[in-house]
Amino acid sequence: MNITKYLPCLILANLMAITHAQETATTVAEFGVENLFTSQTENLSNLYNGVVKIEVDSLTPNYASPWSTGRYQSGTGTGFLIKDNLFMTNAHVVRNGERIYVSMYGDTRKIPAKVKFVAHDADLALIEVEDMKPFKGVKPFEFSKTLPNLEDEVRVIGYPIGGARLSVTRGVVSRIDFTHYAHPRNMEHLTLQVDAAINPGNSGGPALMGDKVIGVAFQGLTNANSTGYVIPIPVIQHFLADIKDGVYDGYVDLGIRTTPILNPAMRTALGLPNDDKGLLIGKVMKGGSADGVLQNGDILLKVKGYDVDSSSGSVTLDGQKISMKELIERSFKNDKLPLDIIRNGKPMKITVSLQPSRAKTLFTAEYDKMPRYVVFGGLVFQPIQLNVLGAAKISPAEVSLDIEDYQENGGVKELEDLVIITQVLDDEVNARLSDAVTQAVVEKINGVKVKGLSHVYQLLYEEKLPEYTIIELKGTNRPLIFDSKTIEAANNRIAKTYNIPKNARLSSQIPTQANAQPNNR
Amino acid sequence: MLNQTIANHMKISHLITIGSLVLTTACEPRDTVSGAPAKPWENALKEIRAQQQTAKQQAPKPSPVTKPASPINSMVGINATNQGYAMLSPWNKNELQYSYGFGIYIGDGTFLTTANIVYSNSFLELTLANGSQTVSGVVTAFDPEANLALIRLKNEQKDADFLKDLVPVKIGDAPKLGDEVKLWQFNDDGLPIITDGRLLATESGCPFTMCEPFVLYNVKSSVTALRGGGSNPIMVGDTLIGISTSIQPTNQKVLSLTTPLIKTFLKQAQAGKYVGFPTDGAEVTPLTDPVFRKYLGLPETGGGLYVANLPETSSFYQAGVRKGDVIEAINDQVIDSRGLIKDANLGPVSANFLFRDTAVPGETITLKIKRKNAQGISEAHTIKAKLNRDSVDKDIINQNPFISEPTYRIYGGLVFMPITQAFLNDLGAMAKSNLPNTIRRTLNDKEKLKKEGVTEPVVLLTALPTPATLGYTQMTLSVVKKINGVNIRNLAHLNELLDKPGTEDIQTIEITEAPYTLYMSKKAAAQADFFIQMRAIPKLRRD
Repeated sequence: MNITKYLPCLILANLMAITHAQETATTVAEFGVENLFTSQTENLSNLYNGVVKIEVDSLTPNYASPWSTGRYQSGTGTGFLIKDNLFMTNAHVVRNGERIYVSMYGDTRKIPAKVKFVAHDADLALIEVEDMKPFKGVKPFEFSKTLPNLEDEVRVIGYPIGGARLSVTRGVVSRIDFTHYAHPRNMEHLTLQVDAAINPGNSGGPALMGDKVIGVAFQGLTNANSTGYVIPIPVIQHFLADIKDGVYDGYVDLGIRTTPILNPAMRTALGLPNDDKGLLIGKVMKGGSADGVLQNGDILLKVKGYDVDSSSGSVTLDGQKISMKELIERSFKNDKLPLDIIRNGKPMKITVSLQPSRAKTLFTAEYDKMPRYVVFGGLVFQPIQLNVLGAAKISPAEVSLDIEDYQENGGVKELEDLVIITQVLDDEVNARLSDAVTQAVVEKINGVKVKGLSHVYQLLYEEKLPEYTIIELKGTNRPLIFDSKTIEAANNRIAKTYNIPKNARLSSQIPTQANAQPNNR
Repeated sequence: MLNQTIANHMKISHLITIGSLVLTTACEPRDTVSGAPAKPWENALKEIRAQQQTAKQQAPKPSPVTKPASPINSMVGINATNQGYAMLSPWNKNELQYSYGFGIYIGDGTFLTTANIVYSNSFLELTLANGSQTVSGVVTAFDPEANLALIRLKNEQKDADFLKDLVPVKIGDAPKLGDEVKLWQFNDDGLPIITDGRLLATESGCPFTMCEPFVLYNVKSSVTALRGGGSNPIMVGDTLIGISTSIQPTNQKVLSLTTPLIKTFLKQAQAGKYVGFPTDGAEVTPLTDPVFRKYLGLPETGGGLYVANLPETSSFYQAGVRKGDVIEAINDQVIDSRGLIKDANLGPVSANFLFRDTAVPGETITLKIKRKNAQGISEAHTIKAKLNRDSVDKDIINQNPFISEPTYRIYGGLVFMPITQAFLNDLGAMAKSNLPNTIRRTLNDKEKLKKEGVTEPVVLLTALPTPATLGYTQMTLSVVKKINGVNIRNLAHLNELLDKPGTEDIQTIEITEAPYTLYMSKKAAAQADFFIQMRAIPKLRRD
């Protein structure tokens, strides 16, 4: 199996400075690009004016010691003008961005910019510049209306390897399929595979057919030749439609597990004709969109009035055969999905209101957030989440039953987080505890069932603690006991020793410019 | 006590190491024995020559009383072919494995060896040290937990000659730490090799398969194992005090079973039906944390073991011990802060020594415990516990690591089998210890399932591709809950329900994973089974 990897566009800042110093402004004509595309009627230099280089200084949080500053990094990527003062790029180009500069093609000026919308689940972002004057007269790109066909010729425009000059590579569309998106992790969307070279720094650049954008270059494969990946129009359209109301809600999830009804005995038992229609709903995720509407054992016959094909689980919609997965991909938050089902032998019509799945966010990567934590007696409490497990090197297998209960069996309805102890900061207060601390979920504190990280804080930092503070981990051999009299001194000592400015961070929101004004304090 | 599951998994793989070690050492040149001390070697050599001389002269057999015990006189070589069933396809047997080791003659036609040589054997032979005679053997007592086994000749009458020159060894008095010991072996051409060693320390562990740990001797010795390293007799004078369970030449470390363990094993084995060492099923942790001690109402320093987990099948539970109790003394032996007791010979050892290594089921021990009462005050209690093996024997998961005839059922291409420890070992090895969630959940819910009447959880392992399993082949391993709406208790019950005559053609099988309910037509199943039997699997069930 190949491992998809997004293009690492992080380059040392001083290296970039050298490149800049050596390069002067240039025009497209010097590249001889016009000769390459002689059939184009559009003036190419004008066309490419809308492709900008994006330089980002970011602050990547440290989930392993969540109270620490994190790491400042720099990187570059590409973006392109799609509307008056809206540039499209990849979410991974601008993730955790502290300061963003946009440079126009053939212009050394750096224009400050900021993120307007970001969809980490689709690896897309829109940024706007503070000063639009330099872009006066630049024509925004237009999107193609449809997906390209296989073997259609495409060009990828960008600023790979950090250079100031534009790069144009071309190739053909070699595959259109669902692919793993490396930026959000554990997410799949439709993708174009092209054999045009896509290199670090190309990220966020447009893929063109003629003068129309057919996608956004975003990732490549490290161990295969000539495979670049482009985010296609349906995914881009989904993003642009989602933000129309000013908020990005993200992808929705039906929250069911289905099985094809192929087996003749199964069809007979369920009273279905032998027409290869219908899907069996095996499990409805508690807390998901379909919870309370669909039931385990329901048979799904039609979606939006169209027959569901049993073997492939697809629906023929607008003359096009699309999978259930794709159908859900095209939907938005609060969309009403009409379904025809059979329940206990009776046909029924029901409607599911589609919602994004909070349960799934446990296993998608988190960006533009501050890691949440509570430190108490040297025990570091963090919520189970992909970044946290990765940083603490905890295998999800250790807590797989808890995760299953949270994601599928209703945990998400009752609990804010699943909390675990990720590390023990050694101190005399916990010196005899370390063998009793495991990676099991924190179940109870002083006899109260823990609902989430904020609840952990509330229970541990109460005004008046009982004589002993008792922390119980799920299924482990003994409770963790603290003598409450000694805890305040210990907390202060640990904060000092381990340089922890605050013993908890319960909100993951990054302070905005407005509330970070010095005179606000 | 102190179940050490991780260490135990390692023991299983260790078995393979033993096998491969044998192959290399068997080909090693003779001078590997040069490290052996000169004197016993020369004596033994002289003795062999003397024996050869007497054989030549056809002299009358020397009286056995005058012949001393020695590697040549008292040991035999054991060759075993080991082959159990593949637990994930129980209609097939595993690849052949070969084990080599030693047996030591303990008189009355009986040889003592380790279980890791003779497990699941399909063929077993004993060879005299001088190579003059090889006969078939049969295992008469087998304990994979203690890694001990007894062998007798298969054809005692016909092969009676095999025993006539063997000199039995006696089990000696338990050695003390620091005592000098000797490791006995002989090499392929029948020369005795005796290596010095010293009883250095003890440790707690499982000598072969997963179990509640025993105390083991750690013997420091430069011995080079000639036959894998399991089953080398460890001697003081001409008495047996231990038997090696593994030899690590790089660390000059030999792990050995203890004298009391061997004595207890023999006492039980020779009394008739062998049951095994008592188990208590308790999970305990030492009490070194002063805050935890204070919370439990104990003085800040002191000893004892905290009972962290205790299944209802546990003999301690049956006697009245409960989770949260602190065991302070067993048979008046005080447990220290590391959870150890003091043995007169060995110093501090695991408290298990008192009620596992040296006990037999049916014995009673006295526990002194502390328990917090309703007012939060710690009270002392004395509890008499009758030892048994219920925590293993009454587990709904068959804990026997070697199942000679694993049961299964194929129905229309659906493969059903009970969850057993042997099955879990193979599944764990395949899934790199990441057992599927449905299995983890079953293991967590054992007591609940037992109350619901389940005596043996059954899995649907897979669906073989047949017309009857169309659409089912992508299913994952699931636990079977119901057949035709009836909760199933065990594989026999599942068979009974599937085979029940009735007019309905379609059977309903409810499982824990997608598609959650399977439907199977009796007619289609019969056809599919006929084809499977013809094409691939000759036996569709083993009951």
